[in-house]
Amino acid sequence: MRSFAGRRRGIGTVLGAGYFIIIMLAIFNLIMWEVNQYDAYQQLVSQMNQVDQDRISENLEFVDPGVMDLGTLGPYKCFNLTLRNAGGITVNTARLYFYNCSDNSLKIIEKADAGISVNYFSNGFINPGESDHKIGVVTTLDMSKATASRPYIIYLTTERGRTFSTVYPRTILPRPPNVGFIDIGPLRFKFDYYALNYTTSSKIIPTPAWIISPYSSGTPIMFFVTVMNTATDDDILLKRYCVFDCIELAQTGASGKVSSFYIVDKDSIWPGASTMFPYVDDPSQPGYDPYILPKNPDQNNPQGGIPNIIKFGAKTWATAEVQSLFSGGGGYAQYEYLVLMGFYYVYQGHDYGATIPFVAIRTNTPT
Amino acid sequence: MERHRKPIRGFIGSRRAISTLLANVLVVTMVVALGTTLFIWTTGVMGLYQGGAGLWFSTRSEVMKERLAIEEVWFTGADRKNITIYIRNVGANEIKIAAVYVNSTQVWTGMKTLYIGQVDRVSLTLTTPWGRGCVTYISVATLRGNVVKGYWQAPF
Repeated sequence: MRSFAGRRRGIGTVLGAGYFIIIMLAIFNLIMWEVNQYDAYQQLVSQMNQVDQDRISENLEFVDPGVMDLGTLGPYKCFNLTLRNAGGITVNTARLYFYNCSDNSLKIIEKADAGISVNYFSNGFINPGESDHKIGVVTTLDMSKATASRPYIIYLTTERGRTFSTVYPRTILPRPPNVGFIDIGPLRFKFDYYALNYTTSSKIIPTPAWIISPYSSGTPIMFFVTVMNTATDDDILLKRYCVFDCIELAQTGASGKVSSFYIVDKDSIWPGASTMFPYVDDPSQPGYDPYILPKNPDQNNPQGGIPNIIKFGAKTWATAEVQSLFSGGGGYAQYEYLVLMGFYYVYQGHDYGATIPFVAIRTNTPT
Repeated sequence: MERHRKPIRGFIGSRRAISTLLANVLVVTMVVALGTTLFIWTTGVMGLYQGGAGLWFSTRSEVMKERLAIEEVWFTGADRKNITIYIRNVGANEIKIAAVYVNSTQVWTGMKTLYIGQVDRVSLTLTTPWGRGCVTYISVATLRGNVVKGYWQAPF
């Protein structure tokens, strides 16, 4: 103390140095805390990435015919589901769902456990590489009554959150020559009850558009058409000039009686300011997101390609300006329309155009 | 050494100027005052930062641990207005389902807690019937902001 008092170094310097050291220690402590927190967070990120990776590594395939060894177990039915684990990881089955397509019923099959006497399965643990793994099911469902016209869809869910499904009984559809389709060039237009739909601001769920009723004159409307690319060598890019022309029949003369609906963006839902978007097929423009119909990956696919839903609803091309059907007559006028579609597309680097004789629709007419 | 033992008289009689002493006292006082202020400020700032960063890390961690899967969507109802969604918690944290959207329209809000590994269902009633064979876009949102979405086709 005496020597300290005798020193010429000021007490202020000593105090300053003390404060400096304390503050530096505090900052160091903060940095260490931050590093620890970040490290813990990164560990969690890695852990969850591993979980995601494990999930996508799961791959199960149902082995034909899907359901085997039909029998009874006391008052209940029993059978085996046959699967192949084509993934790189062990799969633990969490639940089975049997959806009956004919009566829209759903049966849930739980993992075998104490207290469950029926509707349970066992042997749901499938190792990688297993090719004829059998999951035993005991249920009240009579799968022997399933037919091609009354099929079931079987969903198998895993503990990691994946779902694998199959139809039972599996059927190979006959491939009649061009029934249910309109083929022009590489384009294939599906032609069945659910292949042509429409939406309006009051009917936002796509609904079959064969008879649009009730339809108030002047109501903006959008049409949905199912199209496939049957070419196996190249994708098809649709141009903004694609149009869905509704030609009104009952009036004389063609002028002013055609309602043209141009293609709109694939995110469009129903005709409205924030629900229908312009179609942008110019890469230099913002929002570039054209319809690209992928080439047919499988020549043996009975559908002939991958279905794509194309939406029409704009009054002029590359806009989101809403369009309605012919508005003459007012109210809920009854009209018939012939529908022709103009499809402009790029295939193998060349521009093409095709007129598609498509459908005939009606508004407000009696069924 | 002797001068430190001087009595008051000696102090008054010393040749050291009073201003030097006052200057020393002043400097020490300033150092103490400034140092204390700096220390308090630094502690406050670091506390604030630590609090914010801690909240961010904990929130992000909780969000990161959430994983849910929509196992099955069942379109039901004689009037075609009901949808039942089966949701499983496949993450590492409990999940609170906060909202369900059908075709980008909110049709259910509430609070359904799913514990790890648990599966539960959410039953929806639509205002308009689902279209036969129509593809329906369904999103399930959790309270922490995760969204799981997908397309399901209604039966014909």
